[in-house]
Amino acid sequence: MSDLAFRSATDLAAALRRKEIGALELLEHYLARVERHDAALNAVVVRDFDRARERAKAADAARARGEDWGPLHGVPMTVKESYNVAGLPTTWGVPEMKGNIARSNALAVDRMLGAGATIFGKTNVPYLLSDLQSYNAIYGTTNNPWDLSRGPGGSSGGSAAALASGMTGLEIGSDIGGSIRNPAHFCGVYGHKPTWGILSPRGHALADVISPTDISVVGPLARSIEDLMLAVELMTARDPLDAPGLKVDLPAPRTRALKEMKVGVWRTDPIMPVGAEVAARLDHVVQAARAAGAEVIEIERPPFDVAEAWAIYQFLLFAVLLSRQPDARYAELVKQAEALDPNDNSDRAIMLRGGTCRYRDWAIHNERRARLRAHWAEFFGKVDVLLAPICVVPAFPHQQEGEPADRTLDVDGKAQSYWRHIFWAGITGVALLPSTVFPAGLTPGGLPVGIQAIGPEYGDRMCLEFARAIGQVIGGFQPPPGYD
Amino acid sequence: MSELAFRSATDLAAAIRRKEVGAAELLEHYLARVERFDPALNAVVVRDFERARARAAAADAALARGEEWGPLHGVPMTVKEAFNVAGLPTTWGLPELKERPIQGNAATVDSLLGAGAVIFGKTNVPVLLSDLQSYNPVYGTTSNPWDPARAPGGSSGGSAAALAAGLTGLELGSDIGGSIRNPAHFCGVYGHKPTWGVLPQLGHELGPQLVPAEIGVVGPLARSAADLALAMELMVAANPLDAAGLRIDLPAPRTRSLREMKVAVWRDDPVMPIGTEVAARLEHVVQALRGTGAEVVEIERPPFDTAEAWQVYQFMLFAVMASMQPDEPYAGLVQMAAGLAPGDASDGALGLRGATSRFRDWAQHNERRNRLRAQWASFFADVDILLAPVCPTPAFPHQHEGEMATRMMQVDGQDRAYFRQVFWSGITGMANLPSTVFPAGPTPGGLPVGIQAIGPEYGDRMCIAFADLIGHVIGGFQAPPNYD
Repeated sequence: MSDLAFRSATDLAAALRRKEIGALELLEHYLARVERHDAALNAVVVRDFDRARERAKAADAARARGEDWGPLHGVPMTVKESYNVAGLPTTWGVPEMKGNIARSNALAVDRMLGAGATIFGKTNVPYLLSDLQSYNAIYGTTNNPWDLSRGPGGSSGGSAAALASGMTGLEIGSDIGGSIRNPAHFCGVYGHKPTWGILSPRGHALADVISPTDISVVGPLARSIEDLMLAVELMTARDPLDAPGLKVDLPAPRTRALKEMKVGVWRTDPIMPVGAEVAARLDHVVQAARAAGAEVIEIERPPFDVAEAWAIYQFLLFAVLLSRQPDARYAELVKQAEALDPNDNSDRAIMLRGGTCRYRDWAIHNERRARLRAHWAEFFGKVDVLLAPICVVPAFPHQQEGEPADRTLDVDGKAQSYWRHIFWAGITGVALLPSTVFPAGLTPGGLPVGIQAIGPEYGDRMCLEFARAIGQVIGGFQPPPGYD
Repeated sequence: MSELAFRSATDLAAAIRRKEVGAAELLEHYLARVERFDPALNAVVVRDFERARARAAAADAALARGEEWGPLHGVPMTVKEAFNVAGLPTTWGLPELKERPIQGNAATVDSLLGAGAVIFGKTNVPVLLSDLQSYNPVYGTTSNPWDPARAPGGSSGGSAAALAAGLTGLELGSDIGGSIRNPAHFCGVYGHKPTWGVLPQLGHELGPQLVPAEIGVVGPLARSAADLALAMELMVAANPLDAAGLRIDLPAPRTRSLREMKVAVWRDDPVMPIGTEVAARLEHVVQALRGTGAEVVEIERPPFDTAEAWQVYQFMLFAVMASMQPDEPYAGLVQMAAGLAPGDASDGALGLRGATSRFRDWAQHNERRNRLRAQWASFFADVDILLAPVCPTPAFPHQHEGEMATRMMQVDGQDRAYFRQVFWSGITGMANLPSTVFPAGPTPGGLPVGIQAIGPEYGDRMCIAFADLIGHVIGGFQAPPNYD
């Protein structure tokens, strides 16, 4: 029955609907797998098994009465620790938040429950969701199911690890610098980073903040593209304050046929050169798309200055991230920023300036970002999707020393800035663009690689459609060895 | 033919459609009135008569061929100087921008032209749109048609004066602290401050700017509520960068019958006490409303602290205003803010701190603002409309000495801070709420008074419908004496 664990959420929902399996039976199957495999992985760090069993029983009873709760009726799933689920802790890995028990559900959680899902736990994150690994002082370290000595990515690392190892049916994560996309890549699952503002983040917050965060989005991870499509549809919602008059109305994909699609490819960039193993999988995808009749256009991106775009992203990102720091720490950062040499353009200097900027300076950068958005809008008049790497290497060994800003990572024998691994996620995220990461096969060493299909703002359905179509050519999710 | 000049834009459009008057003929009527009355008023400060004459002739020719350009076919109108109209100056009252060429139209200007309007000029503003009067070194001072010794309000002061004096058919203004609403009040015309974000701001800007200003909106002024409804319908659109996936969908009014409406009244507040003349007109509206069978409920507003909300507004307002300042004056503000005593809680100190705030501080105020928005949403779940004053007094005598922040004014013999006149607009504007100002009859001294009908976010159509209905009970626009 192990193959059951690796089926897609939509398949599981269909099996439940056809009564091939019961909701409780399926839940117990996943819970048993959590008991068996999670000791080594440490992905499902908050467990709510008893309430889930009650709900699964109720789902079975409802089904027996002929009720249908929705397209996820009885499907067991987990959510990233950063979402509020009533009765469970929301800590973001911050020890001071350990006692923070949510009193209500995040809006996205309510949407999943409303569609009939059975939520049985929450998955691990890094401290303040700010790393490409997922370890923290409360829950410890999550490992990659493809190789326990490596990280699963972050910040939705627990989400991707739990999906890849067949411990959950569906996941919802969040992304401000690749936090849905790099875990999908490192663990070989699907992930969708939606256009900013179309899936409400209400309840994905520390301290019950209700203001949506710039650049940041919530979105699904899954083992199939159909699951992502369904979850995006379920989660689509404007912020509750705007919902009375502002409707999200995502256009249909221009085409569903690969041979009618126009595809751009951005293979590498001097700011963060792409390693040979990832480049090979990207090229494999490009060849497959071409062979399927897609028009592959050798046009990388709009004609903006990449270094400037990267600086704008870092500035806006750190304005958000450092604004979450406590007063005393923030005051210290202001002092450091004021002591900077005006000619210092290091990543650290950019971090400090953005992180402590005045509102006027933020507004100036926001306007520069809007110009990037306009560039991208024009670019996507020429291509339907843009293919790009999400990270320059496959999953890397755990590395917990020092601050992310001070670490380095080996890329084809060269030490590269650890921090710059978010370049490929951030450069499009800052422009609010949607991006679907899909599995693109394994490296010679047997590690998964994911590739981004990026679309225009509000072109989420086009990104997803491309990932569906290319999956039929190159294959989709495969389980890691050792999780039968 | 003078009463023609005071008809509503919708009436004028109908007369043109029925060929009772030609577009060129009507335009000449308004141009003649501008020549005759504007030397004393100085409202229509940018004139584009020749192009307008050509367009009006084309409008007549088109109509003769059976073509209809739209619901404003041939209606002469003007727009606030702050909007871009290709070929005309946009200076916001700054002399250094006098010669700057403007190439494109504002998005809303294009919508009005698309509906067939004939734009023949632009109307006066204060420097940087920052006053409740309308004078500047480029164009001089606009006077109030009810009493040239008094100001018409600001920043859309030229708009309201031109409408009241029968110099134009329709107007387009903007509002971040009452700039549509106080001129409507001071001149006795209608004005609608829309929900934030439902009309595109593109082209209402000092320099090219893609990001819409926080709190700031553009919106119509007119001689009838029906004109406001039409103008809104013509101009509603998402920001161009969002138009691919977001749709503005303003709900229809819950009812169009006054006796089925539930109306709350906010009469006064210690932050800016209301003078007896304005209070009397508000009371008149309330009594008239009771007479129609409407349910008037004696709840003022959501249970927030108005002094605190006022602080949040000032902070956010000055953050936005300062973000438009050039480097040098901004650096001066930073220096002044650094010199403030930590305990200084004066309006001036609050403004300076907001103007020079760091993004983190702004984000914390934005969160407080969003909590106020949530409180208003609950409030409007129970009432349809909230009535409130716009300003504590009717039009006041020109006062050009000193700075807006330090001037004083008299309300019923008491000294009050001049700047605090924006309290009654800002407190709802900051919460993004729509508000229609309608004429509520003159004071014993013969000056007009306008009252706000405030609705929930996206409840614009309810506000305008209410203003229309109450106008049938208490009377609508009346022309000032001596403009026959």
